[in-house]
Amino acid sequence: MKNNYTEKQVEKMLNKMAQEAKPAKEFQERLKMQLEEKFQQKSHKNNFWNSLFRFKLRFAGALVAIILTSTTIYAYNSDSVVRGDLLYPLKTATERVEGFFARTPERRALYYEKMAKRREAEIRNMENKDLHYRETVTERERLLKLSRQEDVKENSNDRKIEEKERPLEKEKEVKEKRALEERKKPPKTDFLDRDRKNM
Amino acid sequence: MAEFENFRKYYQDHMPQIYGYIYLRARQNRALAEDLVSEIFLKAIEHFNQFSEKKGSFRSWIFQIAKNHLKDHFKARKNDENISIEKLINTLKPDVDTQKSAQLEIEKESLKNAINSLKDDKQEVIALRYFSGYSYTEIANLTGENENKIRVKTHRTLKELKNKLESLKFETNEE
Repeated sequence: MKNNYTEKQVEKMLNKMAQEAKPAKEFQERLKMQLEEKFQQKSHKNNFWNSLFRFKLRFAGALVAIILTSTTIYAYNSDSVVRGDLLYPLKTATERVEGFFARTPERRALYYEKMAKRREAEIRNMENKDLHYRETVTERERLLKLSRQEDVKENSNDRKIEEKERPLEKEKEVKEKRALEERKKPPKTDFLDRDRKNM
Repeated sequence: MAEFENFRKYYQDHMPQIYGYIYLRARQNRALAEDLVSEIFLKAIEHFNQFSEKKGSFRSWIFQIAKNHLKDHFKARKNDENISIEKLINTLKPDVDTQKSAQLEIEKESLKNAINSLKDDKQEVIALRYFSGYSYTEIANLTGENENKIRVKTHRTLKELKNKLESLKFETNEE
């Protein structure tokens, strides 16, 4: 015996089964709690990495600030930073800022005096540098002179050797020429003498 | 915390559908379905920062996670699941106790077994249509197939289920 189903009946059976396949409320609540826990763990983990990243960023920022400040302080205070140096614009900029704050005529006078003294120190420094420059130029010239002298000596030695070797070479040439000439001469014929004797 | 509230809203809206889909695909095993659904949503919350509504709907996103998770699950239990259809049909015969119990219970068991003997893509269509309650358009969007093709596939699967149920009933009656 074969029972016949219609497709509608199969659909009905499927729908009925699907009704029973609903998630239990307890399971839904349990999973919701699990998810919340997981989310908190995740956000805690993220917070750690975020704070580490923020710390790194702050550290890098602080390092850059320290380097910039110390460079500015060095440029401002050093007399050896003179016109033409890389840090000189930084020095003058700092001085301009200082000048900006000198508002009263008295303070301005003091400021200009201070700046004049600073320029003087720079000039002295540049003069020292110039002195060193001149010393270096003199040293360079002395060394060039020494080098030329050594060159002259070496050339004269070469000439002497050449003069010694020249006669020997000439003799050699003469000998070679003679040998060539001898090779070019026709050989002496003995058979003529023999014929004369026979006659 | 706003992010979790957002996720909770999605969870409440989509959890029953995902559960229905997983329940059918996990051989109507409630305990296994609960485990799998938990794992899927935990995975989803782990990667929730990667989800963007601009890229696609939450439904497609969670469905993709569910599908991949099921695939991994079946791959891991390939040996256990490797039952031939013939073997399955033998198990479809309800035992004496079931025969004695209500007719509806027998039918339900037969239907479960008939569904489990279907091919994966057909099981998927049945799961999405009847257990998740999606429309044909929604199924087409989720699977990336043509809507008409989905309609035809559903119709053919119903026919196949009908035939399987009839043959099962015939075998049971013969015995």
